Amino acid sequence: MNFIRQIKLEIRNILKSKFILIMAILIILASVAIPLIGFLTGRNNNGGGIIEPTYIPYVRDGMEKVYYASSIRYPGPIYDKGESITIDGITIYSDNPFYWNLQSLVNEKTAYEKDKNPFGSPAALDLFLGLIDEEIQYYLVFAQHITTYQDYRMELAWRGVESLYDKFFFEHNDVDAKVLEEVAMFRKGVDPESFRRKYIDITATERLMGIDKADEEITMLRNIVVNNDFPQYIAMRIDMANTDIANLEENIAIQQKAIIENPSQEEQLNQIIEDLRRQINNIQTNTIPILEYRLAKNIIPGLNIWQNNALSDVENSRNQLTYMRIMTEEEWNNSRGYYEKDQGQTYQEYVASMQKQIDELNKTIIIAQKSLDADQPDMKYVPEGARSRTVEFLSYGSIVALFGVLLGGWLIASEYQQGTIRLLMIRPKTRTKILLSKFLAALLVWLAVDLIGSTLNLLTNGILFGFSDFAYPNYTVAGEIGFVAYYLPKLLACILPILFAFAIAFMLSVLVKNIAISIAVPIVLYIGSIIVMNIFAYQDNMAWIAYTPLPFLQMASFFSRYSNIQYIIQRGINLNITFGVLQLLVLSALFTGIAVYVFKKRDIVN
Amino acid sequence: MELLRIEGLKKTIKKKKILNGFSLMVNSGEIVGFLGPNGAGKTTTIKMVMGLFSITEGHISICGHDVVTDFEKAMENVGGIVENPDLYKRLTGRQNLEYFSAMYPHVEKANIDSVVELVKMKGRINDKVKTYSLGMCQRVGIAQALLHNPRLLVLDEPTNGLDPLGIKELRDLLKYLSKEAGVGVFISSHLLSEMELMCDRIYIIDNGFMIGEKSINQQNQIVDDIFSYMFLTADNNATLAYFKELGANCSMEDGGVSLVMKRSEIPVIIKTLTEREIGIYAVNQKQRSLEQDFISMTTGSKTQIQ
Repeated sequence: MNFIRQIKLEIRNILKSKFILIMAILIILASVAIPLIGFLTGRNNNGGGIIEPTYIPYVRDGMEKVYYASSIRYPGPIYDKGESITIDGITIYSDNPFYWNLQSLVNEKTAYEKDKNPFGSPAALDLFLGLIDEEIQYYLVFAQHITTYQDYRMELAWRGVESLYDKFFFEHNDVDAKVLEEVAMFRKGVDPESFRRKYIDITATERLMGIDKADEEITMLRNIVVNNDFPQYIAMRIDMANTDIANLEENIAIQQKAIIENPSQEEQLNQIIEDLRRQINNIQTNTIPILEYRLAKNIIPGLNIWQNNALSDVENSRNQLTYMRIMTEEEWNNSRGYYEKDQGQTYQEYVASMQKQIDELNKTIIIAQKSLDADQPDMKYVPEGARSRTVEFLSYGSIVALFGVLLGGWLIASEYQQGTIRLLMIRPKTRTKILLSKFLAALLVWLAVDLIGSTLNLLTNGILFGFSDFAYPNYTVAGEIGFVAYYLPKLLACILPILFAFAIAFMLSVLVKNIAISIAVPIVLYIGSIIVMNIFAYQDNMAWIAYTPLPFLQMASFFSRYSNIQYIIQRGINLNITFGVLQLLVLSALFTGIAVYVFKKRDIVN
Repeated sequence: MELLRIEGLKKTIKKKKILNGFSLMVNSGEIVGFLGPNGAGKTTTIKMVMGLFSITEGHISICGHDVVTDFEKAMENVGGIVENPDLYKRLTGRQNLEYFSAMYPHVEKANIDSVVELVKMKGRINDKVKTYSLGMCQRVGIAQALLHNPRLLVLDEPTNGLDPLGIKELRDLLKYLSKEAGVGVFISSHLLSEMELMCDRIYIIDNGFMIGEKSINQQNQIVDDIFSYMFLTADNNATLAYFKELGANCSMEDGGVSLVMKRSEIPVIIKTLTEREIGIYAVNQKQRSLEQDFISMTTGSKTQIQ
């Protein structure tokens, strides 16, 4: 009981030091201030914050469906409007994706209305202006409904332009062929012969068919754009995918014919056929099912929602896996142009490396799929969410480490410098007990700062960015873990660097009896370790660094999304967290032991 | 009862011999003085008693507990002041005392209150130490030494910074503690007059050696019947001549004539001087006998301090 009373008094003594108290309070406040700042700055630019989708009702097949589009900011953005252009009473601002198209079209139109020279005849000019008008009207529709570059309907504009030209040329093929050609040449540059063949030397039926086909396409695209008809968009994409499959099959047939004609080329041709088959397989098992999934779950591309990130992870990973094949040893020996092979990689290493990449891709797919199936995103898909921010904030530990250095360096040296050490040592407590109770009291203080700060940060993140994020699990290949199980071990691991820095400062405090040196030296060493890690991370032959405490001083970097630690791990250096934790623990004990030994032996001269 | 025993104490720091082996002891109910020139080794000895210095050779035990092998028990029985009592400046006097009291097994709040009252700091004990004068710090220093009712007090220059009243209070307190409570006091000081008034015995140390031990009687005088007296007269030469006639040990000094004689002989001398029409201004007993002894015995500060 006396022991507890003494520790409490030691803690009170520590907190009586104004600069320690102020530092502690500032650090704890930082844990609330930093999320606050992130919240306030994230709101102003759309890149950081959560986009609020708005809902557009749409009726199809007699059933009302609801789809969401990115927030309509038309007419015009909230802040500086910039330039604008007005067509038929509709104003388009310069932040609109189609502004530049429309502007250049309008400029061309005005230019040629004045200066009619380039054209051979008034008829050509007239036709040309008519075409320009059509294009303007075409893009105007898009501009009215699509206001961000990420909108999934953006690409439809470029897709429909060909049909626009088709329709125009078919409809106007009754004018003088030369005039038509001239306009076409002027506008988009055509090969005269194919132009004639397509648009001019055709029957009336063919003409009508051409018009209908183009019309159909344009109407469909228009419908998707104006009504935000997502189902139709998906149907269109699936059609395109099937067309791709048909093309690939055709290609296969050609290659197979080629085999018959050139049997000597059989092996290479078979390789090509296999690749083609894989592509077909990818479209069938990857591309199309994902499109259907998007439709079923109403996941509109381009929106800044986690489901899109997850889906693109799945799609891209599967795409990559399509092309990843581990070569046989013979093939590998014969291959050329591989950097690692030139650097002396063995076949086993190649296989291991390839397998690792394949495993990574499969892992990505599994995590994405689990997130989508449960409709609960893994932390990686919500980088601005409360979970992610809390984990990133583990780097707060390095600030607490500096505080620990302050505390450790000051603790004993101040007793010597103030002279109170004499009154302290004439008590009926061995020197070891006195030293260790001070050590423990200081440890409790910085530990409290760390835990209180981390908790406040977690709560603040929840308040500002939503507590619901904490309920989502994180996924592994084997299963899933709740956030607490995920976060707590990491938080505890990040305590070790603080202990290490504190122990060094404490030891110096006893050895040197000078506050300034005991604080400055560990700080310089700490900064030096960061510099070493940053520079040497990118050099070769640094595998030994895994056996030093250096990388583990930045424990939080192990858990961060992007850091130099991640880079080092990727390069194959085996950084083991458990080993690092033990190292730091043992070294801290060693430094403390040295401090105790010196403290016991020494004469108190001050 | 023997409270402090030092035997064959030697201390060497960086090949320099600070203490060359001496012994002393303090019993309960005694106030023992510790004198010596600057650099003699007083503070070193006291630091070794209080566990601040290591012992090169020899033994120190407090109430039978060796300070090396039985440190905690030894320290429980002793309270002390070593050099200036540097307290924690940002705490109040009371918080300082609370902090130190936590290290003793049986110190209660009441103990703190009573020692505070004893050193007369009740009015300022709740103020921060940085507002204290030197004397107040010293008083709190004495308080922390008494917190746990120790059987032995070891004090190094405890009167440093105290006003004359404070010095008297301390003297009375120490006498009270030793006579009424049986506390043993081991005190080192340069104030010879104080030492004469307080101490029962005195050890004198020089160059790390113990060179003398003296007892002081209850009237605080060296136990001798014969003293030196100073006669301040109107005609000192005539007085001196007269004393020489008597064959006494006498000499001319500043402003008067000194004469070594018994106290009982004073009235006779006065009568004779008056008969010879030699005016007498004053007859004073020369107080500084301890100083004379001290200076004659020690060499320490007479030459350059080693």
